Amino acid sequence: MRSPSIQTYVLWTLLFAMAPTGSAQTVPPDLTPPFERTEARKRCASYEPTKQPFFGETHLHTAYSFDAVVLDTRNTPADAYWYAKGGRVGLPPWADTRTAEQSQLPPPPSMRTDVTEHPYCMPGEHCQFMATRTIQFPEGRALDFAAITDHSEQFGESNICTFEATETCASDQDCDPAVTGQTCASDNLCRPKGYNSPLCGIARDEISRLRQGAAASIFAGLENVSQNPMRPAFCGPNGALCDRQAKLVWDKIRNDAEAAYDRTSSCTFTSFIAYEYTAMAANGRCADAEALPCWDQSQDNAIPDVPDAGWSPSADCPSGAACIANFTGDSGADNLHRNVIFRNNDVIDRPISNVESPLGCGFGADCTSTPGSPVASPAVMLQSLKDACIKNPAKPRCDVLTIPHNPNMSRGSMFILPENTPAGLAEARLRNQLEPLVELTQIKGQSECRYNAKTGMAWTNPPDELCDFENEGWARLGGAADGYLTDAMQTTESIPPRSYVRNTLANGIAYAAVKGVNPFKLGFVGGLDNHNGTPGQSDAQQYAKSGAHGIQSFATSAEALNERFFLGLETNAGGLTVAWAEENSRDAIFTALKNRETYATSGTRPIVRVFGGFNLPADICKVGDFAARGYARGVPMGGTLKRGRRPPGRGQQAPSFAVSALMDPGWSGHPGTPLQRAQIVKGWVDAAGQTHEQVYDVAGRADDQAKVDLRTCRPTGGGLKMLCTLWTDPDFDPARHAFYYVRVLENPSCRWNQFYCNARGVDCGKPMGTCRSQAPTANARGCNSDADCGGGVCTLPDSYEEFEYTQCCSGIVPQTVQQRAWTSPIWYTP
Amino acid sequence: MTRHRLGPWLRHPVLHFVLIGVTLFVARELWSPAALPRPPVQREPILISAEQIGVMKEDFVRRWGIPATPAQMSALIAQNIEEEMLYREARLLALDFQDGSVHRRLVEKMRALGDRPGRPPEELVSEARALGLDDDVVIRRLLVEKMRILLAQDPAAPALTDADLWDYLDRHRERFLQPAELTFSQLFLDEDLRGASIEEAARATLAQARTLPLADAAALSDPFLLGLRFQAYSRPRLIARFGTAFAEQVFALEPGVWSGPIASAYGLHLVLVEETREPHLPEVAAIRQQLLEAVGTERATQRLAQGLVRLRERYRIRVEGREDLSTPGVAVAAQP
Repeated sequence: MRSPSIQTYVLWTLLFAMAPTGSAQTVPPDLTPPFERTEARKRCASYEPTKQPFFGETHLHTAYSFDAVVLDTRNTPADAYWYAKGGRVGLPPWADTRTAEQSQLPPPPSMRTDVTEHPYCMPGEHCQFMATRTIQFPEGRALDFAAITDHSEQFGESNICTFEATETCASDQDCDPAVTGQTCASDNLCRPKGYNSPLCGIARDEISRLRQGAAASIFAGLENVSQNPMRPAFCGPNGALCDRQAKLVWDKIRNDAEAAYDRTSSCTFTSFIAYEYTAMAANGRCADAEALPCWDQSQDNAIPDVPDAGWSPSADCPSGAACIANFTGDSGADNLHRNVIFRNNDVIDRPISNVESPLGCGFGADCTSTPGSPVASPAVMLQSLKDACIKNPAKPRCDVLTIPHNPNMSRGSMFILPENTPAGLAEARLRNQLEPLVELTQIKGQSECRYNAKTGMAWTNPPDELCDFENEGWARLGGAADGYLTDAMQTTESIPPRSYVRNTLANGIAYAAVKGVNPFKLGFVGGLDNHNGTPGQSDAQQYAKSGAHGIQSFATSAEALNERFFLGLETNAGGLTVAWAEENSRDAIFTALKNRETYATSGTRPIVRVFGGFNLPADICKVGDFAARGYARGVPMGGTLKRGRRPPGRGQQAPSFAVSALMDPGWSGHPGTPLQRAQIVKGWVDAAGQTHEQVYDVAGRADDQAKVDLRTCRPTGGGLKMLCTLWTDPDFDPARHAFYYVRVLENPSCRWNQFYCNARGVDCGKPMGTCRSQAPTANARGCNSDADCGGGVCTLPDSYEEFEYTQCCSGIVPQTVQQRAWTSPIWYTP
Repeated sequence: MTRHRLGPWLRHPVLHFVLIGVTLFVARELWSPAALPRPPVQREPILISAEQIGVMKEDFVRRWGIPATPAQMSALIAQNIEEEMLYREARLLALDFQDGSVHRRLVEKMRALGDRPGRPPEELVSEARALGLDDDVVIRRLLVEKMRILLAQDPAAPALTDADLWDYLDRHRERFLQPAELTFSQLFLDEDLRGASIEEAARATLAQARTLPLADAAALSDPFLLGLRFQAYSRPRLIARFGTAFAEQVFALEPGVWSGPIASAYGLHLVLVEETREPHLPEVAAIRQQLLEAVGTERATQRLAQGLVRLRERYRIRVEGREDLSTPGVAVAAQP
């Protein structure tokens, strides 16, 4: 037996000896932080009163999401955190490295697992399954924080269907069924009850054949719908079996977040306990000009745009119009998803998913929408969340916020103005309190604004050509081909302008001007929505290799360049969230999110700061202390300016905005792209309640000729390393509500498909194929179609996959994009 | 008369029980030490034949596509020996006795043989054992793992103390070491403002800064968005903001003196390192849970390794063609 060892004494002595120097440095200046500390933890050594930028992820899926695990994603939340911190993880496909004999054996028994692990190892290690591809951040690009947001509707179902048994048993009692919900299966292994249900069988069969298919859709069709969502039969009466499994998964998610959280004074990484609330409302639309979503009860429209035979007025439509099928034929899966992020480890006992609190018409035989609320109102869900967390006396430290994502795929359902009723006002207040942010960009497109250069169709007034950036042609989630809109079909009717955040911000202040509360006071974050378990992987070059969707990812699929593939050409590498906070702790970052002191980037890492105020110093860019002076004389991004006190004898001054930005420094061997310009987007409401908007260039030059070398994808010079400017609104009306946000554009850089085309060796300088022809003159001649071959056929080289040459070389697909950052707005309230 | 009075007592059952008890006790006391000696367990030597080694080699090639290196071969053989020992010890300890999984496996095998239906499972199991069906890959694997778990456990082990956690932390410093941190001030020189003479300006500024107190030197800097002072920055954070080359140079600087210029993507920086904090161990309270788990795992691993060493002593091991892997053994009683 060891007595208290020599080492222990030495260690203690050393620690005492070091204590004076250590503490002098680690304890931040003696001040009360402006954010509330709700957890017991070490203070951060790196504490900056004027705040520092922290890069993070607010939207990511792992193997705990059913639609990810069926794509053979095996990274769990623990793996995802490991990746976020700079570790290396695997990606499918997985090589089965078992011997023939071993593959017949059950897995080696070990400790009990309640939640499936999907074990794999890295190349060089010996284990059951080996990663054939691996991925890791370059040095310096690891994240500061991450929220892992798996689909909460299928926590339990996913664990039941894809459980990897590790424990042997002789009887059910061996499996501790009261805790685990597992029974002893016929192969003497403990598995959750329901594992052998037909639906789970289908799901596993699909995984084994590496394709995505019916099972995920069946679950979504039961659980994510707007009318009477329910759990599948194998979940038992009232879904109790799946509820129990969901609880186990939720507990695991909480533990994994705790394990990843750095509670030491180094504060290297912050994790957040989170989940995704995944409502897919199947709405029709009102036949009047408002085109509001409505509950299309009979769902039997034979002809699009024409009411059903014997139609009756819809309660959802203001003018009593009929509810007609949506433009894509039938009513579809409008995206009404939200990411739910908790402040600390005092969280609700289980997620409130669409099954518990549906978003849509809800429960009931008739399933009309909630009286007084629009059909897609989140009021009931937000109230449940508030009651279970913020207002729950049993959870005194609980705090939560929700982040809607992909309004671009909501067909206008995400941001319907609450009605002028007490219930409507209650909804407005709930949204104002619990939804301070919107995910402005992610893999499935950006949601700031929309413009289509090919048709000239604009969703903003006046048109803003820079909105033609990572727009999705898919108007809704779900991926069925009829959801795809060709350029000609993309209209302000098929994609209502309120699907876009700039318009929504304007609607919000117009509502606030009348009702006094702004339901859409939305700051900006960016996310991935990646289903690989790799948070923050927003680099375009890497995306061209790894994609975002497990086995369907690009390196393994020729579908990458298929524009009619839901997860193909129109996707992008996804965005990032940057939070300005004093330190890297949960309380500090959550406070930044709640106060909207955040900005979204389209994936690159410029640093942007904005202050607005009536008395910002004119020389704020010329002398130092930008942040200290900004805070002293104005409000940061996400803040609200109130009408200033009028100096005697003078009219109200116009507000100024100080904008400062640094380009993405890149990483070793990969220089970042310089900045092109900064813009301020202003929106306001006139006396008649009409909304307006205008975009101002405030720094840099639009005609900068800086380009990128398409072969190497390196910048060819030009642009700004940093910029700083003070801009005063030339057209300010102190009586009117307004908002101002900043858009910082980088110089053009390669879009991910250009990296893909380069990597595939597609040479647009040569003809696409080679003639195979009887005529000796035509044979072996270069060609772009059969017509070039004089009766022969034009064949592609073996190295080209379908679509590759045409998509890489036609010029229809953009080869470059201007990556950008969007800062949370600053609002002006009279 | 006396007979009369003793009669009921002699017939009283309590007396009978007492007598029987005494008799049994005496018998047990007299008999047990000598009459039930524990017979020494006969452990057959473990032989890994050249043929088995050949199979391992082939298997490896099938699995990994390349032949095994000598080191890999040795490891494979050692693993085989270990599993064989564990399996045999598990059998000696009768770990398969009343094991539900073994039981069910045997029943399944008998049923697969197409035996008469309806026979009681117990009968099937004993017949399976008689037929030698219990030497089976599944059962073997089960027993090996059971034995491993048994060796790794020690129910009598005392609870972990803070000293244990400190000790572990001390021995695994590199795993828990927090990164070195620097607190530094900078003076920034903006290329756009300084133009071609920026290098010259940097040298002049450096000379001037060295003559000034820290607070006054700040006035020499061009504005920089992130400010002029950076508190407790680790190398990764510095790389994230300014790039690898910049971070390496700053971490190599002598503290307390203005140095540079050092280039970043943004321009030139003069840097004064104010404080350095060497890599340091975190507070135990902040990592208690990780430490508890780590020490628990370490103890279990040690017990397993010690158990395996004890087992190896009991077996004579012969690996054909590999004298280095062969050992003599000694016979001891069947205790793990």
